[in-house]
Amino acid sequence: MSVEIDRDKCDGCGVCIEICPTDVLRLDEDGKARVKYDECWYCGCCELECPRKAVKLRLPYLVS
Amino acid sequence: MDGWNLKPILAREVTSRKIKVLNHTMATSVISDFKRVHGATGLNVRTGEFIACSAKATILTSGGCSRFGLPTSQYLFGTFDFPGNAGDGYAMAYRAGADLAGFEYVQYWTEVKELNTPLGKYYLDKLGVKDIDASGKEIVDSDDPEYLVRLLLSGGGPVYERFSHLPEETLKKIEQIIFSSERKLPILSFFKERGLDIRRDLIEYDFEDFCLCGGHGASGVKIDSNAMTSLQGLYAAGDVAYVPWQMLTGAFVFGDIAGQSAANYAKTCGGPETNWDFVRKEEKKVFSPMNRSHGIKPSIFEFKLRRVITQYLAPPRNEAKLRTALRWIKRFKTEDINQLKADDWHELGRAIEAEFILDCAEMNARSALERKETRWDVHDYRSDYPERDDKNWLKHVLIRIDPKTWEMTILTSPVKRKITSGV
Repeated sequence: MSVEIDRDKCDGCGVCIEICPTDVLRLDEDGKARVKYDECWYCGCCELECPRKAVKLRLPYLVS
Repeated sequence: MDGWNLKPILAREVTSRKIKVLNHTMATSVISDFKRVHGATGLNVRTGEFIACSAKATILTSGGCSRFGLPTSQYLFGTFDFPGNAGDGYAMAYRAGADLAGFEYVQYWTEVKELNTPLGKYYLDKLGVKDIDASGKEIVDSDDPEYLVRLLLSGGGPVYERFSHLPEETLKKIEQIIFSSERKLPILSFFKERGLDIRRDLIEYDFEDFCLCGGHGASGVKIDSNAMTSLQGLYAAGDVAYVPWQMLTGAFVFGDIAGQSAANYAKTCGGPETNWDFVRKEEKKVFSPMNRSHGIKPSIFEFKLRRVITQYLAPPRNEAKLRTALRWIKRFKTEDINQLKADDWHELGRAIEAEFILDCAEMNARSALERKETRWDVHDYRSDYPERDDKNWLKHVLIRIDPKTWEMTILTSPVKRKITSGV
């Protein structure tokens, strides 16, 4: 997966969800951020903006 | 000021001027009577709210059509340009009756393979980075920006960039640039996860995707020196506008011009006359993929469409390929597009974008069919007309909708500027 969320660090503030330019992140049933739509552009805005450093962009291949 | 601060600065300016922003809202159409534009409609892709915005003046700044050819990875969103730009502004301006131009040209780049960014290649070349061919030899013609694309398209790849011969001071400068400017996180992640080091490793470049773009390519809504389109009250700036190869600086200059022109126009024109029949029809059309019980997923349709674009519209192309593309496009327009099924508001947005891409494909195919020469090398290479023909083709190829039949019509207009041969 393109974006890894550290579920211990994520407090569900939603900053990453608001900043994502392709709007692919949502909160799950536990109130933690997750990639809902397989449309990540690998821009890394979510990692840059996360106030708790809970987001990590991974770029293994550009095939999501 | 670093380049990557530009967007936060723009956002702060908008906030400080108390401008009302409709986040998560995509424009779906400009409200038009084919002479004057009276505002725009939009869809909130989080809530499903449909919006009609009456306006004296409307400015398109929605970028190009990034989701055009399929990237070599086949991943729909693995594009170099921002994939949220699906030709929205091109299609909306076209449907409103505006003139568009330059759609026969596609934007080609050589990009770092599987990273899909050129990594500032022109700048790297200036710092002495060398292009290397498949046999390990230095490519001497690498100062020709189209050479690598031609080499790759003719099967002469792979090609690489070599940094290892450069002094440490230059290597540090290069790392400082590529790891701190545009899209720094994916670039950092790519190098780290693959264990790449420019002191040791060659970096492979390939032809990864192609798209339509007014500022980094040459396809867009035709504007005059005041950034006004052929419709009253409609302005365009940035990659959506036909200001070929204007790049970022051009986008800022024309953004300023468009804002001032639109404001001046709004002071003198009468109020907008919103056609509510138009708005209601647009609303019905927008929501139709949500109202079907079953149908084709937008992502599946988009893949089929972009596969055809890649197969038949990527240069080199010829009349036979272009006519095949148009046969597919006609089928997509009459059958598939009317069967799209969206399961939520987000997917509804993608369904609307799929139809924007479809319009762009037709604009590209019809314009390319019209221009019977090759003007900009790989950007419009026609294997059946491989030479530049200034005698017959110092012309713009224009696109305009016929408001009576809704058919796409092609016109030409002469280039007014005197062009010196070979420039």
